[in-house]
Amino acid sequence: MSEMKNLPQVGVESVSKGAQRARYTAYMQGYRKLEQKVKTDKASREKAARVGGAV
Amino acid sequence: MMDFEEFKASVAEQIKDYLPEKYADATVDLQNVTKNNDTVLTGLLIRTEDSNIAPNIYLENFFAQYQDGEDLGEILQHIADIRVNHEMEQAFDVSKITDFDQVKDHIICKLVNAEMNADYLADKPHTLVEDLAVVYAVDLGGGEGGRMSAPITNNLMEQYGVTTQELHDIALQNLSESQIEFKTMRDVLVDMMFPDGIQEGDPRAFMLPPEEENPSMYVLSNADKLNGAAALLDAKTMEDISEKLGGDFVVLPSSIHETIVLPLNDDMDRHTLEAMVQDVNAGQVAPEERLSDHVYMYDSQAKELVLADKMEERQQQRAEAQKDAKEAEQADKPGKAERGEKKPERERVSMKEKLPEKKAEVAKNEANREHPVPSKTKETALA
Repeated sequence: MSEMKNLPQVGVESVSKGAQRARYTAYMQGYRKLEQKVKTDKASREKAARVGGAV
Repeated sequence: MMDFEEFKASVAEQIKDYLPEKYADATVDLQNVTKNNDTVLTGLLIRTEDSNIAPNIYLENFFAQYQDGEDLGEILQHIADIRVNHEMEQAFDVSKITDFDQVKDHIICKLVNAEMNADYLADKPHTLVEDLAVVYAVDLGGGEGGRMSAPITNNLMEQYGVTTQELHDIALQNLSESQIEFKTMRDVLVDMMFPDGIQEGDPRAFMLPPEEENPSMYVLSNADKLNGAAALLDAKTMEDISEKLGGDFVVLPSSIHETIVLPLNDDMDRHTLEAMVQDVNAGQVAPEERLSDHVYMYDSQAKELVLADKMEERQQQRAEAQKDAKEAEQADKPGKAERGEKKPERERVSMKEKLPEKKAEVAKNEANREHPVPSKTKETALA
C-alpha cells in the first residue's frame, strides 16, 4: 500500500445530464430575454427619435 | 432524510453489500480530494488486496440524486457498478501513468479558471490563456460510470523529463486528433432529450428552440461532453468556427465541460452578456464545474481567444490605427502639392510619426493592463 501513496490520484469523472440541461436551458432563456430586451429598447429609441423629430 | 455526513457514512458502511463476493475483504475509505476551483470533494476508495490502484468515486453528485428523491439502494448499486466497471483485470501497471512513452498518446488537457484554482495549480504544470489555465492529465479510459484520469503533477512531469511547453504541445496534438463537437444548441438538446428522435406529438418538443436559418447559439465541446471547454484550445476548430460564423465570435464560458458560442451581434454588449454568465453560474452551475464569470471573444485576425474587454480595446485601437493610416496616406498624396494644396511641413511629419507612436502606445497599454494574468503568457507552476 505504500506504493499507492506515491501514485498520482486517479479519479473517475462523469457529467450529470440534468445539470447540463439546466445550464443549456438557462443560457437559452437568458439569451432570448436579452434579444427581447434589445428589440424593445431599439423600438423605444426609435419611437423617442420620431417623437423628437430627429428621424 | 440524511445530511451529507450521514450519507457518506452510510454509503461507506453499506457499499460492500452491493459489490460482488471478491470485494468482501476490500477496505473502504473516504478521502477529501481537491478538485476544480479548489472544491474539496469526498472520494470513496474501495481497495482489494490484489489491486494496487483504485478509482476515487466522488459522492457529491450521488448525494444530490439522493436529495432529489432517488432510492438509496439504487444509488449504492450505481456506485458499486462504477467500482466494478473500473476494476483493473490485473494489478494496475503503474508505468501506464509514469512511463512517458506509454503515456504520451493519452495526455489530455483540461481548461480551468486560474484564479479559482490557486491551490490546485500549486503542484501542477499549467499554461495560462488569459485568466484560464490549461492543466494536463493522463486519460486512463472510460466506462459507463465516467472517464478515469490521473492529473499530471510537477513530480510526474519531472519523472517524464519534459517541460510544460512540451507537455502542452503533446496535449494539443492529442486534442486535435480527438472528437470535437460544434453543434447548434437546438441539435445538442435534441440529442440529449430525444436520443431516438422526436416522436410526433411529443409535448417536450415545445421546449426546444425553433429551427433557425442562422442559429444564434452553438455548443462547443467533445463527444463525451466531459472537460470539453478545452476544445477552445484547438486552433483548427476555432478557425473553422470563425469561417462558419464570418470572423470574430463570442464565447460564453458555460462550464468546464463546454462553452457556448454566439455569432457577433452588435446589439449585445459585453456587460449584458457578462451579467447573464454570472447569473447562470450562480444559479445553475455547480461550483466545481464553473469556468469563468467573464465573456471571451475569438480574435480572427490574431487567431486567439481573448477576454471580451481586451477585444474591445483592440478593436478601438485597430480602428484608430486604420484611420491614422488613411490620414497619413491622404497627406502623402503628391496630387495635393501639385494642386497647390501643400500642407505645412510640420503637419506632414507628425502624420508619419503618428503610426509608430500609436503602435508603441498600443504595446504600452497591453503591458500595463491590470488583469489576473497577461495574455498568451505561458508559465509553469514548478516549485
